[in-house]
Amino acid sequence: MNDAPPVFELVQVERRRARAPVVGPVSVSIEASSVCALLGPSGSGKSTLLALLGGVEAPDAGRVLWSGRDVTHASQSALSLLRRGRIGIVGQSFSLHEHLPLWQGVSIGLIVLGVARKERRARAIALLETLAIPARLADRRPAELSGGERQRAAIARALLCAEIAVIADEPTSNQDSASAELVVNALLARVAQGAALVVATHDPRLERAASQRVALNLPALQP
Amino acid sequence: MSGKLTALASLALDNVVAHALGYAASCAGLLLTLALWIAGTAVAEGLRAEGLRAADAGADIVVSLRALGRHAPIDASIAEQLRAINGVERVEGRVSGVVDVNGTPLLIIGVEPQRLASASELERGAAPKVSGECLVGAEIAHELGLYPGAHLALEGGAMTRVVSISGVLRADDALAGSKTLIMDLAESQTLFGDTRLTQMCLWTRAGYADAVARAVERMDGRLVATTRETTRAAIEHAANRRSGGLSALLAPLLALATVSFATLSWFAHARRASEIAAYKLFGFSGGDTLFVTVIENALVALALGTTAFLGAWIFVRGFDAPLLAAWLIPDLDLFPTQRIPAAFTPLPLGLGLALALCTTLAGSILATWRLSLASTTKAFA
Repeated sequence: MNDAPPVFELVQVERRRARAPVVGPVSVSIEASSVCALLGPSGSGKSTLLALLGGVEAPDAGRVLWSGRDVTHASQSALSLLRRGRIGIVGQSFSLHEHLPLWQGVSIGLIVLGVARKERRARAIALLETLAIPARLADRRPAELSGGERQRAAIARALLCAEIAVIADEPTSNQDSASAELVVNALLARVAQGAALVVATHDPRLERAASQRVALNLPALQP
Repeated sequence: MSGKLTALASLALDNVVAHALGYAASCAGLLLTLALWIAGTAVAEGLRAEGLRAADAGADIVVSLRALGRHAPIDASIAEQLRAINGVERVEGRVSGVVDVNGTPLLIIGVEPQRLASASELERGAAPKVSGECLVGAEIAHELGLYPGAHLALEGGAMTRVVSISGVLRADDALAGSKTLIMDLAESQTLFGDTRLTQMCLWTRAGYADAVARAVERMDGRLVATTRETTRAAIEHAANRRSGGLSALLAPLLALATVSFATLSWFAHARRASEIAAYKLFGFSGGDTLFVTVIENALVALALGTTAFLGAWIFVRGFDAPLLAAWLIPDLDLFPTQRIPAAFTPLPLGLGLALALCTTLAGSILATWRLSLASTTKAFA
């Protein structure tokens, strides 16, 4: 029996915009080595819930716990330190480092872990190749990649520093079927290594792999 | 820890390279001001060094006569009285005056024949061997097309003398010497039609200079004795005034350039908010982002200081510091064609780097602070 606290725990969390609730109140508990799929139509608050889980946004009510630690009111700097090397995040805008060569942007999370440049490059290229981005593109700027490649690069960046969890917003939305398969496999491989995966998705493969499904409705439709 | 700091510093370097054009645009004003300041400081230091070198090479005491508030000629017979002063080792008379050669003012200096014959700082030719031969400064030789063996007609107050050029003084001779013609004392007296002297040069035993100077002035109240130390102090004072004046002139420009850098950095950094937000999303603390941006600014300062130094060097050595040199050196053309004395010592480089660091760090404080506060939501939206 595993007594470790859940990787993520939301307790009656609520997020409002313009005084109207966008999310919640909702309570979710996500264990290590599990997949949690957030389901619901566009605008139902999936991305906001992911932002709350990742500490990108703070809730207006309720509590957010990471591995049993209450981070509801933690500062951005404290949250960054807690995420360091442990939690990888993929947003819908990718936010790649357009001014840096691809491998450098992908391995950005390893810099603060003190990983040497050579090793950063090797690990980034290995992961990029797993996601069907050839090594010859490693020194290119992200702007030279296709939309699908950019999304896979963002996923690689998250996976490189996701020891305990990956938070991904529609990670297969820009992928063709074969590439989506690669992305799903890479994400599930990390789950198999012990990480929790929280994913907002419409992809049936990820929905099937999920041990926990959280269905969100449009706020106006919520009771 | 050191591995992390090295990696962060390496990221800062990559960022500077990646944003090089933006930084270059932000720093343009600072670069120009710093380059001017370094060039001006180097020229002022060069003038100081050259002046001091000339003072050290000259007499221990220069005696002139003031009558009715003006310089007046000195009777040559005074030499014997000066020699009799305790501590005086050698006395030489000197004549100086200006003649016009094709509209160019030429400073004539008449010296004792043995001094003329011992001249060794020559670019071309040889020291005069016979009366009627003379030496010319490099600049005037260039301007008037003079060369060893050439003849030059000089119209003095009394008569016209034709002299022969035996040698050209080295280009790095004192600037004052670059427009000078040095000739035999007796020849110069003939030229100006006056057997009296302009100055008396005294060499004294070590430690006697001040006492001799006082004795000279006691001997005749109209005599003015200027010791080498007084000359050196005057040169230092003039150099400090030049440097101070230049700094005072450039300080408002530097302040303006710093404000311009701060404003442009503010707008440039606003565009980098999502980049910094992404750093934070992947574990960079506020301190880490601050460290990266401070290192970036330090690297920019290093590049700025070095480029300004190189620019100043090229401006002075390659182009003879047009406009700037004329402001620092009286009677110089706006676009000089002669070598401008300049000392590019580690001092202006060090000061330039320090100034670049101060201005870039001061100018980027607000932008850096703003960046360190960038929210991670910008990277997740």
